Parts: sequence; C-alpha cells; structure tokens
Amino acid sequence: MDSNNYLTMIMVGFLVTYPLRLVPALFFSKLKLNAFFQRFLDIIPYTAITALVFPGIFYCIEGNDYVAYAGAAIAIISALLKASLSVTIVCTVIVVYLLLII
Amino acid sequence: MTTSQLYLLGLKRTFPIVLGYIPVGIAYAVYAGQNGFTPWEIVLMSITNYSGSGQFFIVSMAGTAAPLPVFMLALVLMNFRYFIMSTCVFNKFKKLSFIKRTLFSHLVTDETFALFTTSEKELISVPYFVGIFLTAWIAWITGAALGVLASSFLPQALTQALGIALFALFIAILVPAGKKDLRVAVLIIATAILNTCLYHYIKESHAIVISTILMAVIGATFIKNKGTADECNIESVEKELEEEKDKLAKKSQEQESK
Repeated sequence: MDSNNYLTMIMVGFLVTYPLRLVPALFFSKLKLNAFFQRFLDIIPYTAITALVFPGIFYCIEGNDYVAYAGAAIAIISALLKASLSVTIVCTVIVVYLLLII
Repeated sequence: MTTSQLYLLGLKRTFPIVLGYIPVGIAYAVYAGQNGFTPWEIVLMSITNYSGSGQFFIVSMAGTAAPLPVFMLALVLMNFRYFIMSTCVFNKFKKLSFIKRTLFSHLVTDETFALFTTSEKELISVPYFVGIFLTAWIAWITGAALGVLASSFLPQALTQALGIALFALFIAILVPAGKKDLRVAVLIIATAILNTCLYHYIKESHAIVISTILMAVIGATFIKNKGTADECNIESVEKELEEEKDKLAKKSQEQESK
C-alpha cells in the first residue's frame, strides 16, 4: 500500500479523520491538554496550510509558471487589502483566466 | 420554538457557509480531476473525508509514493483540530443518543463548529444542529459534484484557472492571521521559505510534513499568548455547565420550599 492508490488514500483519509471527530463525541466530557501541546495544535493549521500553498501555488498552472506567480501576487494583495474570502478567490481566478486566454 | 422553526433557523444561518462551500467544493473537484482522480473518487472523498485542507492534502500527496505512516501522521496532525471542536460541540448537548453522536460527529467542520458553539443556549437542539451541519455537508458534496460536471464542459483555460482557487482561499486565510499577529506572519513566511527550499531536495510529501511539524513546534515555543486558543475554551464550557446545574438545583430547592 502506498499513496499511488487513490482509493486507498481516500479510505485511509476517512479512517484517520472520522475517529478524530467521533471519539470526543462519544467519550469526552472534559479534555485538558498540556499548554505546549495546545499551542502546537493551535498553530499547526497555519503551518500546514502554508506548506500546502508554498511552493505548490507557483506550479499550479501547468506549463505557465508566470501566470501562477501573477495569481499568487493577486491573491496576496487582495487579502492584504482586506477583501473577503470569496472576493479574493474570484479576483484571483478571473485574473489567471484572463492571462491564460490573452 | 418548534422543531421545524429550529431547523429552519439553523438552515438560514448556514447560508453564508453554503455560499463558501460550493465554490471551494468546485475548485477542489477541478484540482483533484487535474491530478488524476476519477469523478466517483472525487465525490466519495467529499462524502467520507469532509475536510477542505485534508482533501487538498490528499490530492497533493497523490502519486508522490509517500509512505503510508507519514501520510497518516500528517493527516492526523492536520485534522486534530476536529478532535477539539467535536469535544466543544458535543459538550453543548446534555443528552444525545449513541447513534446520533456517531452520525452527527462526522459533520463537524471549522465553520459549522464556529456557528453552532456561538449560538444562543436555548437554540442548542437536534433540529437546529441538523439545520446547520447537514446543510453544510450537502453543500460541500454538491460543490464537488458541480466541479466534476463543470470540468467536462467549461473551457479548458477556465478549469485551469480554477486550479488556483483553493490556493487563493488558503492565502485569504493566512494573510489576515499574519496581519493580526506579526509573530504568526514571521512564522508563515519562514514556513513558506523552508518548504520551498526543502521541495528542491526531498520529496514534496516529506517536505510538507517536515515543515508543518517543525515550524509548529517553533511556533508553539515562541508564540505563547496567541488569540486563537480561546476559540474553543473547554474550561469555560465546563463552567457554564456547572453554573447551569447550580441554577437548576436552586430552582428545584425554591420550588420545594414553596
């Protein structure tokens, strides 16, 4: 078994994710975590998302890295300008689309 | 409130979540399709995994021949927040059957957790829960299905452009977090640089896991009073429950004395 079998990955994903949601629902009325571990868990979504985005975003438009760079720049700029989630996504996709068709 | 009123209120409040899940679901399906997942696998993953970043991670790992234990460890760490969120959500219920807990727990996500646990106490009920959580799940699956359909008739440039949508979503999550806390911004930038460097020397899947864990350990060591920790404050939930119990006890005492 390795990650080249897509269906296996999906089922492993389910077998990992579902118990994480189920166990506390069934058994936990209280939960006390070590302060360091709590901070680790608070911060991990941010580091994980960052690692998923960079450098992946630079290669996400096949054979057209410069368009991907422009898309990344647009996304960062619109998020910095406090655009909402959907506005950021829509702007980025539209700019990338326009760059691809011109 | 009646059962149907509670259900409809939950449904109404979930509308913004639906608006967010459908486009992201479409983007996920397009991205997975580009990486060789079949339509059936794409929809199945949305039904069974139901986790934006988790599914994105699985698609990124596909075909990299990452060893299964590494893949699982990364996924556990990435999705461990559901463990905490689920604890909070089900602490809100005083009584709930085993079957309902088994079925309902699958539906806990970041957004539904936030909406539900911040709702007024008197609304916490099974129909209100179903109105929120089931609606959001259906929206997520619908998005994936629409994405599968869309990629077969949309112009190729547009499906290609949609491939960047999930990345844009994640940037839109990261940037405000970094703006709010400069130390988080430094951590995000450092993680991006580290992962970009590692990417050129080791397998992509290993790079992601190493940078995620290493930088989270560094972050947990240096960022000690970040605001997100109270997002799910279990102690406060416990206190609330105890206060309620006290109130009930007092009430019953009063009634007895009358």
